[in-house]
Amino acid sequence: MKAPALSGTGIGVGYGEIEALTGVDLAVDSGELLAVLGPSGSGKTTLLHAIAGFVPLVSGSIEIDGQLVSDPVVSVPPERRNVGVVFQHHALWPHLTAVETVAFPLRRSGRGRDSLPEAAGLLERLGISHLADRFPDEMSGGEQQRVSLARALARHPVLFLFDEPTAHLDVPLRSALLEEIDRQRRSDGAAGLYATHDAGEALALADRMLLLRNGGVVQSGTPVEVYEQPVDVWAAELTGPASVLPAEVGSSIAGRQIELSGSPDGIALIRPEWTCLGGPLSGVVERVSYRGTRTEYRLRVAGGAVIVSDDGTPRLQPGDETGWDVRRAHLISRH
Amino acid sequence: MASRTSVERLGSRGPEALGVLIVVALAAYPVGRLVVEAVGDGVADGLWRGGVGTAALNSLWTSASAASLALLAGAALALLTERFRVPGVSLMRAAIIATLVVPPFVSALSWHATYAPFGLFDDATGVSAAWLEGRVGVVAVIAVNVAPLAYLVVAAGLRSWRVPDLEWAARAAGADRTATLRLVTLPMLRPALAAGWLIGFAASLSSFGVPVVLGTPAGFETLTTRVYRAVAFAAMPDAFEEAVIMALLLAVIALAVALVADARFAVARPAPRQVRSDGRSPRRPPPGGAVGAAWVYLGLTVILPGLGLAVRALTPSVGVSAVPTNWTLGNFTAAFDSRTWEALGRSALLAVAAAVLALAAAGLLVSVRQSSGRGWDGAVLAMFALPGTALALAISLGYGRWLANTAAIILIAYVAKLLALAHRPLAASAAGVDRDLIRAARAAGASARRAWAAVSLPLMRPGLVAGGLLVFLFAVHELTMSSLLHGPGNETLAVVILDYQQLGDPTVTAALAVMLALVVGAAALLLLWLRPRRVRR
Repeated sequence: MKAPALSGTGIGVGYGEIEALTGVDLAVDSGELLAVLGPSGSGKTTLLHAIAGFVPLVSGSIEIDGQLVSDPVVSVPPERRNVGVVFQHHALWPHLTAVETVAFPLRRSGRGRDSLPEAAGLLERLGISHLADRFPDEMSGGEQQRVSLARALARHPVLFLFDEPTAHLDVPLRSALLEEIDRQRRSDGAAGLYATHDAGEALALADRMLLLRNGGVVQSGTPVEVYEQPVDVWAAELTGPASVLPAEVGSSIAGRQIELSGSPDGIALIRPEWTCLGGPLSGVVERVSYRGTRTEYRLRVAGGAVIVSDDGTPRLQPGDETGWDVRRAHLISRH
Repeated sequence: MASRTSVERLGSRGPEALGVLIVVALAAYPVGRLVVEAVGDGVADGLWRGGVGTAALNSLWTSASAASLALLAGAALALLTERFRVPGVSLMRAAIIATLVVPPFVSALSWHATYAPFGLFDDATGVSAAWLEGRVGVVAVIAVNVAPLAYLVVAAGLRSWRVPDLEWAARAAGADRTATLRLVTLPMLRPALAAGWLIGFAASLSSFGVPVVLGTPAGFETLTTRVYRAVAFAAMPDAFEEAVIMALLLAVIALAVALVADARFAVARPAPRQVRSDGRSPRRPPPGGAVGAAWVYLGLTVILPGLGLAVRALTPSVGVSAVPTNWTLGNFTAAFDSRTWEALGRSALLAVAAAVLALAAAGLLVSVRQSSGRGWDGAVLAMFALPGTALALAISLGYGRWLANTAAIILIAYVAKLLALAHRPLAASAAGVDRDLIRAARAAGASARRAWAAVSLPLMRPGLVAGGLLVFLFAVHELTMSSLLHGPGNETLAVVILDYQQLGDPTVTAALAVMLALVVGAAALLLLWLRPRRVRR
């Protein structure tokens, strides 16, 4: 059996007294993309830096392509890890043009004379050959990010590390770049680790996800698993809108018998799209939020509040009484 | 009801005219007089007079060598403190910067007291450096004095890009440590290195205190010491004409260097603000022995000489062994005669007056910039870059007619030279006042004047305090201009110390130098203590 492109066991990183990461386990197979989702300060960047070899481990170990690269004693230097890093703020060298920047990793891997033409070819394939002779301060943020991506691609790594590559781009550019990342990575057959605080990006892009909070793993699984069966309220709210209602163990929610999954421990988590307007349950509209593709109503109901999703434009106003229904719910443990 | 003024008058010409007046009075007019005088004397002929050419060459090569050595030391120290995890790094930074506030001639005296024959080192080990008096000593001590400047410039350069993403990007792209240093760090640092060298060169060129203490006794003359000899002793025929020509030469070289440094490397502009890295970056420990080497350097160049000077001040006379049983306070009592006390009072008064006037002028220039966009930054920088020797001679030519041998002419020179030290912090803190804060005050009902007093002024206070103290710090030990402008009966403290040195009384000189260093050190500590606390975000 082939070793995973990346595997980490009990990864711990500390800065003096502060523990930035504790006991992080992860595995990424080649061709697979793992999204690391967490709010700022949760340790995403630190995790990527540990895998790239920029920071030492205080505990645990990291293997890339079946080879031990990091543990508290061993640390293979970054240049011998065969990873391609796309930095959050691009990290383009101000004294090099785009083509020189992309040729840099080629030259380092001993491509010599062919480096420049090869780099130019890569820029052409990415459709940015017009940037070849520009310096970073002559490019827009999106252009810089593409060059930064090209530099990582030129390394032909077994593993890509993306540190919030779209964090500073506006929305249209963001989706274009995401498509590009996806296509390039798949055509190279390389594994990827994608750090982000944007749940939408992570759900859309990833084969599997890792939720990080205060340097520890909260949950991991496929996007569907993580979205539909969050382990706690925090994980639920990180991945999308959710309401919480008390449930009677194994039987009913808001007095209605429905199919319940998860641990039978008393809190039912309900995604807006698991509900609809009209039905045997009753509530009072508190707030109406028009989302474009649908409208969300926050209803005050027995036992709390619930967000109900409805197709189309708003048809109720705050204060209106309405019937509603819930098709399913996910039970989570009370802390 | 808009009873008084409903519309504010915009773009009043008053302050701008005052800005022009300041620059003309302090620099343009005197330097113009210098040029006219020099041309009248025949610049070209003067340059080829034997002594002038030798002095000019000496100035050029000492400055070039000192700047190179200083850059080497400064850049190495900057790499160490900015790129590696150094235990006690703030102490090391303080020790590096400390050299900057030590008056150069005090530094020269302390090296002499430590490493010259009969110095502390000789006393303890029997080894001494006879070469200290002469060209080698001059270069070495200037280099040590200028190294902190190079350090500051290079460290600012290292801090100006995202630490350490750009270097990590190179590592991730397959470059090892040395390739990263060669291909990324050093090329990106090139502007800072060049600027560091040019600033070091300009500072070395205007150095007077070091060559007068270490060069003159050995017959080694630079432009600054030759001008001093010509003016102070009028020892040569046509002495003053020659001095004017040399002063112009100094001014031209220094301004050309400053111009290149400013145009190509943006020395005058503040370094781009560092973008904070989201991931904290633990630094690696430095290569073995580097920290030790840095402390040995600082110990031999700063700490030990300071000790040597203090011991000499306590020793009855040179040649007497410096063991504690021989120590005496006699030198201090001898040093403090009425002339010294008067000079001390005069220096303190001049320094306070210079600080107040420089702050007022700088404040005016800053407000001119806010109203008309013209900041006179270049002119202020040029005045600072002008060697004190040249500036003093120019001001003597410009105002000597009326003010010769008065303290007022010294004060004018101090304000002209040190204006930049008040201007920089003041302009920086003024730029840091967000215009929206003032708009918010106006929107909350404050008049323009009220908003200025309630918002702008408190926010600029750190700049005012820092600027004022810096001017005081440098004015209180100023030697170069004072030695050329003072008359009988209005010597400054530094001039008195130089007199004792030239009369050949090393122990009393040392006592006075220690005392001056204490005054300067106290002001520096105050500056450090009042330094604006870093604002948390």
